[in-house]
Amino acid sequence: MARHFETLSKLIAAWRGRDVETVLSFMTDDVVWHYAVAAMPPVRGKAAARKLLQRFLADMHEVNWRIFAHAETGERLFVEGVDEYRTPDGRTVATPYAGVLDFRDGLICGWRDYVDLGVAAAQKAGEPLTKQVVELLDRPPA
Amino acid sequence: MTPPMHRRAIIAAAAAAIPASVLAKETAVPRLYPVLTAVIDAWRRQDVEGVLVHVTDDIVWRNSSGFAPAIRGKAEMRAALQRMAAIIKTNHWRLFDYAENDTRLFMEGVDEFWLTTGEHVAIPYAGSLEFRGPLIHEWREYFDGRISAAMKAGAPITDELKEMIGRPVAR
Repeated sequence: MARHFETLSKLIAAWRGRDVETVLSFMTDDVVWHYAVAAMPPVRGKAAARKLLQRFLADMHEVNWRIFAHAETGERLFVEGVDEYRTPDGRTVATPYAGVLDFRDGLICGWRDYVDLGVAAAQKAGEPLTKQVVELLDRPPA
Repeated sequence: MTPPMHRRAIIAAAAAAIPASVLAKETAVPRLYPVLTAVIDAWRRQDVEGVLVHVTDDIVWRNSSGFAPAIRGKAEMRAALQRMAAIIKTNHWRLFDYAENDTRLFMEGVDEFWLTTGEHVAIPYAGSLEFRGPLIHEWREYFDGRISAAMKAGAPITDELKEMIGRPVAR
């Protein structure tokens, strides 16, 4: 049963709709969100998550975040997907990633996204998507 | 002797005390995870052929989150592993958790190793393996390559990273 993936799917729909408060409604108050494991410090708590999402909102347009595959065990959901969007100056950023989400009482309390920010930085600087990135994205959504 | 009803009540109470996550893990029999643990055991011995015996001839190994081209085929993977084995003194690759779904295995762990030149590298990562029968035919790993490069160049492991990789190992 993919109950946690259903929750994430609702969250993704809310983010595509640029609805920050609905995104936050799927997180616990004490959520710990590593949006780029090891590369950036985690965001701790819903208030900090709100600030981060509002910052993302300004930088991300035409969001096409999608998940290619997922599996869950107990209170943990594993996903593989791409965070794809357009920057304010019209460049496409598409970073393949794997994520691990911990749940408590149906809400996300831990979130770890594993991604290479160097790939995103190159794309933001105007470099085209590399062949290996395109290959990683060339899969049907889950 | 404990009456049967009493015994059932004790068992029921004990089951209720076990978190659902533990029950889910213990009742599901992993089919793919034992293959991965065999791969990890082989790599800890730096046994390249012991790793390769678990992958298909047409393996596609995407071990860089998209910053480098995929490694294709067993021969290319053998060469890559041999290059890695030559510079790694010892490794402590381990997983914190995993989940299986049909022919796919997801994992979260850390690739921790010490280079022959002394640098200590610990790369937290998540990834997925796709299987064809008992063999891995696609392997994808996601992490930040710049962190890996910095540690290989001697950057210290931060306290935050220590916390991240200090989690219990999956069983």
